Amino acid sequence: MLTEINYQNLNIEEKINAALAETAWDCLVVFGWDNVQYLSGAQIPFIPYRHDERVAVCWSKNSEPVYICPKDIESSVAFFSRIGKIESYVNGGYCSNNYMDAVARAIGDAKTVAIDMKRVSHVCYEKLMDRKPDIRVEAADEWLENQRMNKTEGEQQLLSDIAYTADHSINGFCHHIMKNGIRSMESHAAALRVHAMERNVNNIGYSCTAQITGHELGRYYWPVQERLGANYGYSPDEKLHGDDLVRASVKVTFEGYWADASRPYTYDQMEPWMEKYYGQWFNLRNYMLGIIRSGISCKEVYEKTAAYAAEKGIKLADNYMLGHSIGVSIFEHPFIDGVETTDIQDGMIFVLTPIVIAENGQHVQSYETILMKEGKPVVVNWWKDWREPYIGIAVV
Amino acid sequence: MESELVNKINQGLKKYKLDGLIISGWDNITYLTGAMLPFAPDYPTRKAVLVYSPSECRLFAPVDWIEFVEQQKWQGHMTVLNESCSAEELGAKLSDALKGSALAAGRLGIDCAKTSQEVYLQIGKLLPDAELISADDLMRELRIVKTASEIKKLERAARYSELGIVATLNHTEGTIDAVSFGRSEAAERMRVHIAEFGGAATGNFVGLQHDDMTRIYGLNHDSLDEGLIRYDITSEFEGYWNSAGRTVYICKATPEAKKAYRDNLTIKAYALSLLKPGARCCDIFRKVSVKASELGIAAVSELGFGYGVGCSEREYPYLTSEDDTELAENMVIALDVFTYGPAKELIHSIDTYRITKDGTEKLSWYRDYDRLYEIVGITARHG
Repeated sequence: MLTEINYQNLNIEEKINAALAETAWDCLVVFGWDNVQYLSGAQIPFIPYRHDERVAVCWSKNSEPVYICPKDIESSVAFFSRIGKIESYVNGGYCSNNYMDAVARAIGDAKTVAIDMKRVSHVCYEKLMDRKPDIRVEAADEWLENQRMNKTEGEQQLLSDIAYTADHSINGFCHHIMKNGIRSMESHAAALRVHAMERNVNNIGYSCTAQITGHELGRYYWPVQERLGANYGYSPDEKLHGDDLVRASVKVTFEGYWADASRPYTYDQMEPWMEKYYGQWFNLRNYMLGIIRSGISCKEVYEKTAAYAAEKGIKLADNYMLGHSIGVSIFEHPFIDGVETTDIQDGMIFVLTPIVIAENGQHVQSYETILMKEGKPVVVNWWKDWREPYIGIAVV
Repeated sequence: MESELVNKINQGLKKYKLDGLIISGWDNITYLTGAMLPFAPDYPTRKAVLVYSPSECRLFAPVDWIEFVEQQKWQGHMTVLNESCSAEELGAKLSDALKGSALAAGRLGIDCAKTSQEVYLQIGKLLPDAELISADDLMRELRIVKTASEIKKLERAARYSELGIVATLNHTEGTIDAVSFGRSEAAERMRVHIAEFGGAATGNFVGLQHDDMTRIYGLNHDSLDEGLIRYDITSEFEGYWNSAGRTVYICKATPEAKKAYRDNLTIKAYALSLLKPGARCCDIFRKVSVKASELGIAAVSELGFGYGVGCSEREYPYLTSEDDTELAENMVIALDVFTYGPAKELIHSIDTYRITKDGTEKLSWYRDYDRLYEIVGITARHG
């Protein structure tokens, strides 16, 4: 059961101070909401969506970190943030002068400043340089990605627990499904989300949502229903069928960290095509767990798995990654795709997301969350044994 | 996409003498394509970039977003990006896609407020013959005044938010003898009902009481309690957002709570009277602050008194001291005036308005909250 008591100290502050001490930087300034959340611990869900109401954190070697935010959320930030010093500004629109003045003040006399260049907007960057023409700027992105991908023990525990809870949520929801009481995808998605809420996840909006899909619509990542349009935050209201292989997906968050879960269920014993393609998924899953070891690169895992799939006649979803890390954002580096050359190491957490395409075009998937421990992957989100989908109750 | 909007965008390009746009902001992409990207801001590592010109458009994005945009029947070209696509790779793909086209050496508008410094530098490097101009003013100008069809979508989004709140109130009614569900679950009912009524997605939602209610945002699973409660929610319909929020009372309201609510409506009514074409946002802000002070009502001025809604849940214009935008016909404003309850709770009652030729038209008309809504009554059987 998730409870805040278990996760009081993720040791982020100690880690960042130690890592910063080893750099030549005087301070680190982050503009990306995810980096701000990582450093502060404050999850304010609407910050990414209110693009004119920007936040930042300035973390100096020799002084207290500062959280910069619009005045209207100051008290909310103060409540949730580990960073005690907050400087607020009156919002005036995108990259407002007030915002950049606050950032410049927080930087103070620092000479060498590291910035998350993948996140800071061009306008904010230029305004900062106008205010601080003499600072030397370095890119902090790789350093930040490195800090974030190598989880502290507290983060490992928290992420493992959330992943387990998400899987438990799916199981808890599946307990209610019955072949002689099939409802719509939308209604099931709401029920799945409720079962996550019952397990103490944080109930927020936006991408913290559930998706249920099957038959024709199971061919899509984000199924669009003709009648209702692209209601991507919910599921279509089409009725499921007794012979569906249903995809039950849910993203949940707790204490600012995420789980990305997806499992299939059926209403009765599996049909032959389900056995075939779920079997292919399980085969791939076992293969990936067999090759993932500390020291192997993400790209190598991807290439080997893709080659194995081709050899076995398993059709994988085109151009889609085979896995991603997770933390204060749902998708984080490193990604298991054909490009990422980062080596997998102990302390990293991944969600393995191979999607097998069945002959009817449906996506067959079942996400495994793994924690790298003592050189090997440990699956942390098996609430039940997933060698088969959840087989529902045929009739009551 | 509606032709009025396409014509407006293309006229804007002509006005700013731009051959095309390279756009990174997810909300700008929605505006220019009519297609939503699912929860894009929650995926900060992902890149989605739109090249827009009157003759050709191309979206660069990860495969699942591309598929989603295709399903929404957007007619432009699409290029899939790897999940871990770097700025260099993106720049190279942009450069390849534009090779041989006039855009590669043209005047290209960039939404610099939403394009990362890293991507901006790569675009400059890999399109060395193009002249890069900030398109922030153009995008602001285009988006701040809505077309008729945008206003319809905003009205519909407002209706869904209001239905969500009404549904939550309906479910709470008749339960005060045995309130067994929590504040966050009550808030969840708003979200679910927006789905049931046809909304596309829900953004922020909260149900806050007591100490949590003294802040804008909170997270609390405690049971609903006697007293004030504030329900806030944002929701989207076909790419257009609404921001709604209502303050109600569980059980019979105290005289102090009723007065606090009346005071809020008094200031809100005054603010509404100032919403006219030609009025400057900062002047409206100042006048409302002065009026509140004159009446001895503590308006929470640091929160501003409202903001625009459109392809994002909060955008220009802002009713704050810092925005000197002049209101104009067909701007759409969420009038959001916060005052204090008896125990310093932040209370408000948001309504969304279209600025008309000489005043306002309410878009969030579903239900009037002209007095403090009290949830009273014990459980009774329905037939």
